[in-house]
Amino acid sequence: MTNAPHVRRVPSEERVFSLVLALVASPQGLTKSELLSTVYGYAERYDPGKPDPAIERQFERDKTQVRQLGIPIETIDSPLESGNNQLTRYRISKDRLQLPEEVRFSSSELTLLKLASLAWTDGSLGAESRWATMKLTSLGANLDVRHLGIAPRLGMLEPAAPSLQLAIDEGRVARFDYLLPGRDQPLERRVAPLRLHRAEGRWHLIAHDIERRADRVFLLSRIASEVRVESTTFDPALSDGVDAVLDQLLRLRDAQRATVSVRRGSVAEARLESRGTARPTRLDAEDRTLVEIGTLDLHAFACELAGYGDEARVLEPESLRSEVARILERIRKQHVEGSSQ
Amino acid sequence: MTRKFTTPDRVMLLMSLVPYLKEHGPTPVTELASRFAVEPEIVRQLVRFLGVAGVPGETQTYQHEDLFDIDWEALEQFDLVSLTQIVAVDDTPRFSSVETAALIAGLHALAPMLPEEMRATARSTADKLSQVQPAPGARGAVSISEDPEQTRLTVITSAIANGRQLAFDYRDARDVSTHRRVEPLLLSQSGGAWYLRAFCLDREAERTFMIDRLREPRELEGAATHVPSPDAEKGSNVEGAQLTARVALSRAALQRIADFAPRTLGATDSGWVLAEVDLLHPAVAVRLVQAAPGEVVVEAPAAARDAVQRWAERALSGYDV
Repeated sequence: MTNAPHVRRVPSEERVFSLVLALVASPQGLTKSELLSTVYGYAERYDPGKPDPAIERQFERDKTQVRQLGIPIETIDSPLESGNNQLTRYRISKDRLQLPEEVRFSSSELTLLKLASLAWTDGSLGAESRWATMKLTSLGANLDVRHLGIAPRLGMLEPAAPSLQLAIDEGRVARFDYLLPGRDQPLERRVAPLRLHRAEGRWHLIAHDIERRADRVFLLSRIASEVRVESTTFDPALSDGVDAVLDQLLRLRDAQRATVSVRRGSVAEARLESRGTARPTRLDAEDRTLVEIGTLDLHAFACELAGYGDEARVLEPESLRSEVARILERIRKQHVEGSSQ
Repeated sequence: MTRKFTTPDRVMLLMSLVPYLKEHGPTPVTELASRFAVEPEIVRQLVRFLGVAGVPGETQTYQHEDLFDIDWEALEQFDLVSLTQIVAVDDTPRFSSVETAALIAGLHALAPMLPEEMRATARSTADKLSQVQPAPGARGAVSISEDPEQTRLTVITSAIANGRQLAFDYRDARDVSTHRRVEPLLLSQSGGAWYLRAFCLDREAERTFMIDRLREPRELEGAATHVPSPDAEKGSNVEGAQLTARVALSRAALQRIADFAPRTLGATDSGWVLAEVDLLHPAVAVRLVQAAPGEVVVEAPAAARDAVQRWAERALSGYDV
């Protein structure tokens, strides 16, 4: 193979796969020049006597791609001349590359894992979903999803999600404009993004607000600009606070309660009943049921409730009641003949 | 859905094919293609490369003993993939930290809609997965709070798992209630709502039911024997559209009505988007507004706009404003 250069351009996947094999096969690691001068895909074009920035950049990109796939590349600094990256050795430890042999999944576990993986097909985790699904297939997950009959969709379709995902993975600071409910103008926030969390069907960003020096929860749907990812990195220890923030968020749900009357047999009843905190009360005079529900976010909940139209009517609290009425009034006005948005 | 099959996708497929073939022995290209959900030609391309891939050995060149090998004759003559030599990698790669987080979150999202036994398996699998340490420096990028149990869904998933028929009362979009007996095929999610694709035994045809309109589902004794038609996964909204509506909406709202397949026409002065949407009936326009209340304005036709106005007025009559 190395004897026949220039026959064709080596496809990237062949070069990257060959790089992985070379890194796994060498327990003591290989230096960059050793890799570039021997590995298929680089070796044909590499001349140790002539530095070529294009090949070096390609090597860096390939390493990033390998790491993205969940394959850890270790770097070993030269003991003789520490800090000289020409002498740095690279390797992939087989133990850390492959799933430990004691970890195996039963066929029912694999089926559920594959369903869980396929749920992310759309949206910002689409690529990771494809890779995890391939790994599961190679572990023996043998499933045409239609046979299990459930196809949930979790994909984050919010435009802010991919950049936040990237910033979290790389531990980098992010900036975005955030529109608080009831305000006209968004405010720029500069945060250390820590986790994307879904609750009540909405995606939240758990982050450390750098200016306010405090952990904050943001709704992805209220991010009103592109997310700008800085090159500045943040202290990974900030992530330690995430679970406490989540606990607090869920306690808030217990504290913020609403009483809603829903029409029996309606979509609103179907959606809200299972989220109720107490047994629903039937109102026999009307064709309605009372449901008491805790919510994480009164404004987002108001929007959801307005969407049910006359199937749901808020009784308490007054703030939620007036907010729902305000949204409905806005919709009504928007649809009066001759009006515009 | 046709997506670009990227370089990392191809690398991961190579990494996954090796342990699969090691475990399963000689496998037809078409079977690999269907298992891994890719085009057969991609499998052929990658396998031809795999047959000559390897590591530079001690002499710093690729020698036979340092190369993968396949049964070339079996591939060329019978379209059969048989690995005869494996080097360096032989087992499934670990899940990356993002993949692990996504899988665990996915299991927690599934749990509330599964029958009890499967729900327990989903939770224990999530725990098991969280014990496997991914790469160092890993961050759990996504997570999910489990929703409360969805009884309507658990009855249906249980019937599907048991291969049984299902009965329920169904109130259609025009508020007409009927009793249905069906063979459940597939539960899928679209625009935040759940839909059941089922073979309706009363209508003798496949139908799609919106779960939120279905009451008191019960599993029956009778066995379900129909298999889903290939397009069962689609087919929730878009059969026989009657009219085209023009809407103005925010960019965020455009994402939220993606299932209505909007065609964007341009931008408005205030930074919103103008789009066209095919609707089954003027009253369906309400569903566009429901997807993002206050951020979708149905401008035309008048019948659709009026339907939304009347809907809002009915709702407002419950509030003393």
